[in-house]
Amino acid sequence: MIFIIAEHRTCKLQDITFQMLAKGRALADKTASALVAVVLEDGSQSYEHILSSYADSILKVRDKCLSNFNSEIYQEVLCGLISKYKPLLTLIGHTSYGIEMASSLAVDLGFTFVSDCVDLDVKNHRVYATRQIYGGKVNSLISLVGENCIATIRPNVFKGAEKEGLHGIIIESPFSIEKTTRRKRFIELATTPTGDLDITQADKIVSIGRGIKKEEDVKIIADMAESIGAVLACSRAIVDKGWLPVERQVGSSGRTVNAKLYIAIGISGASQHLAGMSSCETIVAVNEDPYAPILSIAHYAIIDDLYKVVPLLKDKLCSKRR
Amino acid sequence: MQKKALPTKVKIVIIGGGVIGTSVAYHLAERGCTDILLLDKGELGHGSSHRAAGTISKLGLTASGVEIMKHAWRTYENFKKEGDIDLHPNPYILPLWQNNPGYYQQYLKEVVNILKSLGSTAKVEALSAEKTKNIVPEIRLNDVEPGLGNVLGAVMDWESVWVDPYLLVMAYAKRARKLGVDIRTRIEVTGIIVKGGKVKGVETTAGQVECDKIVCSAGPWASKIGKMVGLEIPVKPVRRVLIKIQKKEETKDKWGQYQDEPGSHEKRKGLWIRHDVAGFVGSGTHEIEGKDEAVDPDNYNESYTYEEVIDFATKLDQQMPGFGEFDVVDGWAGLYEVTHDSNWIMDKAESPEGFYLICGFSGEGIHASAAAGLFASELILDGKVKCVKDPSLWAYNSQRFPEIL
Amino acid sequence: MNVIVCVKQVLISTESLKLTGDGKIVEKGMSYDINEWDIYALEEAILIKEKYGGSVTVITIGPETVDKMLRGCLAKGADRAIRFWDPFVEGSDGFILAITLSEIIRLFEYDLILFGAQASDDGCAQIGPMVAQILAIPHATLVTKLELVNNIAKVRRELENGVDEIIEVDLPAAFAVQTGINRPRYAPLKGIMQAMKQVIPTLCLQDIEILGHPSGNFISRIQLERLYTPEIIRSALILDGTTDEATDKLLAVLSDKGLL
Repeated sequence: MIFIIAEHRTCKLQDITFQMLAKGRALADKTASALVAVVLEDGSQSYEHILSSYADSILKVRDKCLSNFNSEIYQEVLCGLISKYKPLLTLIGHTSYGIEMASSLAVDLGFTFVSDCVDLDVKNHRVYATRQIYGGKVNSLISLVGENCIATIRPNVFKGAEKEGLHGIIIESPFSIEKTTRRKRFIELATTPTGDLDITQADKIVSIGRGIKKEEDVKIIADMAESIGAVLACSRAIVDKGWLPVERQVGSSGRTVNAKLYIAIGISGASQHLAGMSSCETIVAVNEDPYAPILSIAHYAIIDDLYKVVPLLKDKLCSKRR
Repeated sequence: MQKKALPTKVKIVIIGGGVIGTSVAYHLAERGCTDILLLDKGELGHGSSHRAAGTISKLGLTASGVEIMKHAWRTYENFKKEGDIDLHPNPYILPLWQNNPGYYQQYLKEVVNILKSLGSTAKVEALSAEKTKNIVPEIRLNDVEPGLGNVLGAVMDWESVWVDPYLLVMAYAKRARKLGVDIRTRIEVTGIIVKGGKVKGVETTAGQVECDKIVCSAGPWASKIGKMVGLEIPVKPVRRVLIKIQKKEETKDKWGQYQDEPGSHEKRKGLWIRHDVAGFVGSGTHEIEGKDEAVDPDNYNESYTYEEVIDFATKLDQQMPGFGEFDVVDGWAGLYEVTHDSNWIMDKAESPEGFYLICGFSGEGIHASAAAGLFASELILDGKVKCVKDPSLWAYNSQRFPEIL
Repeated sequence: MNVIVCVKQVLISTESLKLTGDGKIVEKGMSYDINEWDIYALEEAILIKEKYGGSVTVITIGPETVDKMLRGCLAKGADRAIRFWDPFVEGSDGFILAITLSEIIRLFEYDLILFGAQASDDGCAQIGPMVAQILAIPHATLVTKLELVNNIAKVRRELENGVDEIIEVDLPAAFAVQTGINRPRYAPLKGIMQAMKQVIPTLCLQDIEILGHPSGNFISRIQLERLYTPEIIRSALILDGTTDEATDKLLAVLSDKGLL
């Protein structure tokens, strides 16, 4: 059996669930196992009907205390389920919920654990996991010892599963937990505050460097950044000039960022700067120098005068919004 | 960006893409010589240039030294005008501690006069003790411990600046590339081909390249390159540390850089500190004679130690008790490539023919870079140097190491 | 409030990281320092001490080369630092390290245990919750704000897409903090000077009791098969054409990725 722990929030199943179902299906086929989706919820949504198109069976546990994720409660329920069914492999998303719960769950069960996998395989009854280390510079292939394993899967690595025209069997497992005292309590969801600027928390960053000639230009780029919901950051050169405060500096003597999007405008890429942003997911460089070191780590580049590129980008973004 | 194969033949191969190598490439290209391949085994400037403190002055130790810095400054001012580098004002004070006031006055006058006689137009001033205290109010004029000496005055270089060394390297490289020089990084020179006493080419990790001339501007790796042609280049890689500190409150100071006199007392010498953006950089181990062991430039401690912090702080407190409390922000260690006498080597080797030594800058690489580039370009293209009037006065020839070269 | 902070020394400046032909990391010329997330954990602990009184104890598993890192922690305000080292640590998986840390922690009194949310070298993000489970205390990860009221922690956790979770956790508890939770201070010179004089006790297997493994015969359940450099696009995909065409291409790429 291969378990996929479905993740949902605010009444919606998260994409990672379908990504795990896709990978899970491949592994289930390879090991001639059943693919089981596990969902813990309060009964207000019928996740099981959606999931039944993707898995051979759905194990659902219902209780109003499962409305919102709570690692203490979820862990106890899953511990019971997994101990009972002993799946070969349990997949959980390497998401905030997964990070909160998966490793302690593994310790609770005494199962082998591996996190943040970018690939998984089973060969000769052994589970092999591929992980990235050193910010993605090196891949490590590891094998797991143990009859049962728990692995967390990195989001957006696997493509989401296609509906299979399946009708997975839906089984409801009774909700029963022993512990009555809750040492951990969900209060509410909230939006991430943007008050105190912290570029390390930004999902999108537009960063400026030496290529910016005048202080007045900073505002133009700041506006463009705002229009795509990005935070403005910079290299040391800009802070040195006093055009932006040191909180905005990206680099080994500033902040390290891991944003989803990093647009480097007029930044050549001194190693100290690269050290602070090289692990961003999508790096775009705008620089007229085709030999700028930043190009060796950027994913996309426009080799052109930023004073031509930025105004055009700004205009196009503006009209997109209209 | 480097998918093309290496050229099979060029006129000149420059080994080393730090501030010196890129400057040589730029100056040669400016003269119309662009059939050049510059190779660095890492990224440009990442060997030692990018860790330098970046001080540049107008001073020199000889007439030709002073003269050549005039040429160099034209390049620096030009780069500044084009917005490629900033020349941060860094007035440089060197206090003089001596126990013999008579000797001291003589010395002070002479230093300033010597510079003037060498044709230096640098704004260098001899300061009295009071004036020194006025510029560096934190300084302790009278040392409590006998023998440590009192401050009797200082030499002040008003026009000293500091630059971001990385930007200077990039400025040379950008222009050299634009003019047609082929600059490749992450390619290591593994051997040099010599036939009949002449340079014929280089072997690299990306293949062989034929050439007529080779410039060794490999800094801390210069002696390693020299061995490839049977030369014992007397350049030693040594480790230098810089600590970045920040005071609780930023102060507006008249001085930019403060350095203790190299020949001063054991307990004091080695202090060097300059203003930086939001704080200061400095160390307590600047130019301490006899304390420099060669390190492996590929494997040395690139970080600082707390012992080095305390050493720096102790010497700082001794000389500037008014400096105040500070936090340690960061620190790093880098490399000097030093010669016996701390003088540069800019010369043609006796053998093999076509092998040029532009190295040994002993901690002045950033400062010397434009000078080195100009000097090298004339030496290589014209066979003789014109930028200094009397080359015989220059201290750069390698003949001062007869037993080695 | 007695706070324990678990820190790890990692390889830094990894831009020049290289593997040998047989898949080993080239150690020559590499630098090590405290894991970035742990800097924030330490700062949070010191802030708690400054507000409520108590002590901050820093624990690390590592060889002698971690000495400078530990003194740096002391310089910033930790009261004591403990180092653990034993041959069995080399090649141990996260679970074994978590057990070891837990047993070291059991030697002390604590109200809170702080970790960095993950380490920059392996990014496993597992030690904090594992230690909490072994010690049977509640935990929370990816903590971006921590407030203590009596013996309850009000915690803000980072979820995804600009959404956070507010939860309450009873003490004693373990928290794995996210970068940006505070603004770490620099080490003051005075602190460094005092730290250099401090004695840092070193513990080994004999000093702790690991049930079931008295001989230190641990079997790691994670076996490293090999390390390799992934095939990456060494150079950027150039979006070429006129400025107009290039900018269109860029917007298309970003739109496809859901980044606009």
